[in-house]
Amino acid sequence: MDETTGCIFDIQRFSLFDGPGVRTVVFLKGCPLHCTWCHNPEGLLPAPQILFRPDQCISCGSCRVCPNGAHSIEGKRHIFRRSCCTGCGLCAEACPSRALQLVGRYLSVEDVMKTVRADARYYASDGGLTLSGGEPVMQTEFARSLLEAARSEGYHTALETSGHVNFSRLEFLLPAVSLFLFDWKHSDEAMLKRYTGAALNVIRANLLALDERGADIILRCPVIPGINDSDAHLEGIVAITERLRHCSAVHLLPYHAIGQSKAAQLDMKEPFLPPSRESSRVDDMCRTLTERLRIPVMVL
Amino acid sequence: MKYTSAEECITFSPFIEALREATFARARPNRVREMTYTGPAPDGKTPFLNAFERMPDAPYAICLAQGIVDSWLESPVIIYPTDLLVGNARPMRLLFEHFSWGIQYHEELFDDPAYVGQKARIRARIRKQAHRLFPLSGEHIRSEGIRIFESESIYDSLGGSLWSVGGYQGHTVPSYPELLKLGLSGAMARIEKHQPEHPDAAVLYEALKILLLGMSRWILLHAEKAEALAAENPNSARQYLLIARNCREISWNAPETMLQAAQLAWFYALWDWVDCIGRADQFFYPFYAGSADPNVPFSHEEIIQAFWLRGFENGFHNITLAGVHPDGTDATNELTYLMLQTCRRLHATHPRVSVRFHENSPGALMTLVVKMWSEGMSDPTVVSDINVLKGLERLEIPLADARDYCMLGCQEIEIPGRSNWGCEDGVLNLARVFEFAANDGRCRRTGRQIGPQTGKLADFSCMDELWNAYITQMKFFTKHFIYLCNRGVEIRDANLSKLVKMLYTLPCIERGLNPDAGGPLYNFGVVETAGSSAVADAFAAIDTVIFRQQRMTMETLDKALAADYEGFEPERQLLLHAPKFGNDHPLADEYCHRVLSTFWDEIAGYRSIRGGVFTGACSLLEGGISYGSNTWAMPDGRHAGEPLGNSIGPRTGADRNGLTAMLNSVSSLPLEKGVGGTTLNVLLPASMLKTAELRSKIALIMKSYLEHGGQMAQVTTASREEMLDAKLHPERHGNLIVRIGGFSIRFIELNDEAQNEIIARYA
Repeated sequence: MDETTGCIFDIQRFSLFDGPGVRTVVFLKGCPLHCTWCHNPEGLLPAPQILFRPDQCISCGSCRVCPNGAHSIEGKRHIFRRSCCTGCGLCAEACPSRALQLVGRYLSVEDVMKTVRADARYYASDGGLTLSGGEPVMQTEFARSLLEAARSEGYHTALETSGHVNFSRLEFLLPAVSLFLFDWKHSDEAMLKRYTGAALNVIRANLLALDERGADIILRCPVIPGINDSDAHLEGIVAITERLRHCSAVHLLPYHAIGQSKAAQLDMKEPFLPPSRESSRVDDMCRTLTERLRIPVMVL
Repeated sequence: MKYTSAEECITFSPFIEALREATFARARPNRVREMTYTGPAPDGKTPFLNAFERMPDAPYAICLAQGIVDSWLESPVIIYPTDLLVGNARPMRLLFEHFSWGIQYHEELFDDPAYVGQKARIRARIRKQAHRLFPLSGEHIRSEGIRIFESESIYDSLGGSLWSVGGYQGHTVPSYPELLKLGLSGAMARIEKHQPEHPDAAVLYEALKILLLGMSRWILLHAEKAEALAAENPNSARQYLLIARNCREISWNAPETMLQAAQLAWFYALWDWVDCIGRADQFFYPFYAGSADPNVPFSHEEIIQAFWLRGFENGFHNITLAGVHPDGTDATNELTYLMLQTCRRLHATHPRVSVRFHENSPGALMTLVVKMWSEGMSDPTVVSDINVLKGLERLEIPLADARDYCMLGCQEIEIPGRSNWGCEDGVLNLARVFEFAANDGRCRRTGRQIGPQTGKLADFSCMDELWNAYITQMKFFTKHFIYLCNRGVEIRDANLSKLVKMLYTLPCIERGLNPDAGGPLYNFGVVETAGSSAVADAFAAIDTVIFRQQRMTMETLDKALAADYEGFEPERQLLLHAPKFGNDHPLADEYCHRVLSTFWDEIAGYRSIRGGVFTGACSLLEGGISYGSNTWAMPDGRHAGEPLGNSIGPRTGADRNGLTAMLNSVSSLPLEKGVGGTTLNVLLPASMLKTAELRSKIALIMKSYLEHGGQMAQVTTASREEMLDAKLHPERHGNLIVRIGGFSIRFIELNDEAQNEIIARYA
């Protein structure tokens, strides 16, 4: 039994959109990027955190079990001093209403596989496990063990990555991955840096290198109004896709404000910028890309 | 094979299109049948009373049969200009026969102008004949119930909260294959042959003869009417004469063509209250595949569609398609697809359709079914041959017969043409049984002692003690429940409620016994349960919070329940977050398994007075809500009055791990012991079905579920209304999943703005 552990912030069963067939998506915690539109801000930091939803709090005071005194109830108001929090999770365990939740748990490969296995009967030949995050490649050893375990039981494996990692890590994972869901967030170096903190040359080089090694790839492009729904980025998607020999599809992910409410529950004010109120061009982009590329393009 | 494409929708011929428009234009809701479309307005006539008054000394069976015949003969024969198949429902009347209780009485029709002037006179006539019109009434059950509980008020308080006893429907499927093979004359020949063997049933046989001759006469009235119309309308004479000839040919003899078969089936279905007809794609197939009648200018496709429109207009309850032949080979045929495509094109609430699946069902069949769901239909229901057959085997039904099973009623199961399983004999609310177990046999609301004294919550020091108390209460109430259900069977028997069905329910004529007296070959009892998932959740919550985590005491739980959690919100929250059935959680699923298994084992020890043992079912469509409204707070954090689970599925909103986890939970249940029919309602957002690739994934999931322990499923796609309700009542919609920006997320987890955005997107 594999006892490698990883920090996981969610496992979603019955996923229909993260690779072929029916899938179980495991979300690994920790990400080197800080995209201003991040959908999963609870995946950013590598360590466990407490997520606090004041609207669910019934002011019962059970959270005062905190060994560091991070919680207090003043009148009916719950004061959470996040600076005192070590992410031990005792308050979340005590909280009866789940106003406090621990995001991030250390699970072994076998722990995760138990959940993955539960849906085996629905995977058929093409469904299986998808690693997402965060940036799953950050937990390289754990990711590799998990992918290998899934593959050894006959499940298809997919890895979603920002590509902003040292290539040696991707190379290490490559033998255990059937499909890469590779993010392509912006084609302009300065804009990418500004909105995500990532370096375009690293991502581009990694993508091309994976392709060079014959990896199956689906390009995933978030479409954020006012940031990357430009014609220039559209040309950038076309250009990079045309250079890839093993890219089987392009997925466009429309922006949604879902990350903002979670960021608030984590007291993360920065770097999340309110996106522009412009209407989404995602359907237009999908149409144009479908005309220009010879592979399927779809809006998820 | 034709009609298999899920991508193209069929188009109706101009003739069927005109028929469809005319049918939809005249469809009207009926007051007597729940939300189905049938029947002209009340006409103020009283054929039943007339028959009983005219024959003061005749036995009940004779008067009933004559009353039925007169009811039809005194109804206007209507043939619409667009008709191909003729025959319409009768006007609504104060007294009418029905397969659930025999003669039924609808007081509210006195408000109709047709009856209002004769109110006092008719009341007096009914009073005078009451003992003859209703040999046994619901009072037969009630008096027994009052005797058992030694209290009128206690017994009355149990109805609709603990149980519904004695049944209220009584669906069965007569043998349409037999009807089409032998016609009316065939039934008469069987009567003539077997009457001498059963002198004690002489009156019953006479009644059946009255029915057959009356039906034949009524069919001829249609021929005469069509001939008269032909004379009046020379331009349409051909069509009317075709109808007339067709009616004459089947007025006594067996049908030989598609048109004749469809017409005879429709006539008999009308007399059978347009109840369920069974495997229509099978019994019509020989006619459908047979050569076309050169004298009939309509295709077999059009005739089937005309039949389907009749089924829509009058609300066929359930039609079963596909499955296997008696030898186990796939029975899916061209008619299966034609009927599905017709259903798809009509996009109406009736007829409701069930499709049987097995290991070798064609892939195109599931693809078409999923496509229909994606278009916003909740039909068809999908059913698993593998798992239903396992259950039927437990009842020792021979394999060839078992393979012929069909769906009926809401979502019950039987062997068509030779069964009466009560469908359903009664409903027991297990959540109320638990209420008694958790309160020393007392009702929480009134404090009255009703069940045996099995201890208060605080007396239990481990789960086993609580479980034993529950089992004691369950056995106590089951005993009385079954006893009273059987009194309901006595009512149906005494009232000959299935006289029309008896003609083609085998081998009633051969045995000289009516369907409620053991006439059919298979006479199992079927009782439904409500609240199984709520009881499982209650056990799982106590086990987790009180005994494993030790975060609460039984004393506190007792007080919290007594107060309906008023002042116990932290405790309620703890219980709410304990494991719940429907999440693939071993503890909660195991409790649900035990709750159902013990009940279904218990009832298998009792016999229906029709002859067979009892089996379980769970297909309460609204039952989880109505029984919930009369059930006190439960230890799973549920407040008094909140809905219980939806049929066999989890408590509404309790399933939070996605569809596959929920299907795993349900398929882990011992459903082979509940072969009366256990419905699972599945809610999917429409966006999960929008592409062919997504639909193939859903098809794969449903196929796998049906092959791995699932018995049946009914799929609904999420609508805007549900989302609006989810904003107001998030606790009821934990299972509502929506798609946003590449993510699937539970709707209730989104903030207000996000929810509004999605709702706006749906609009």
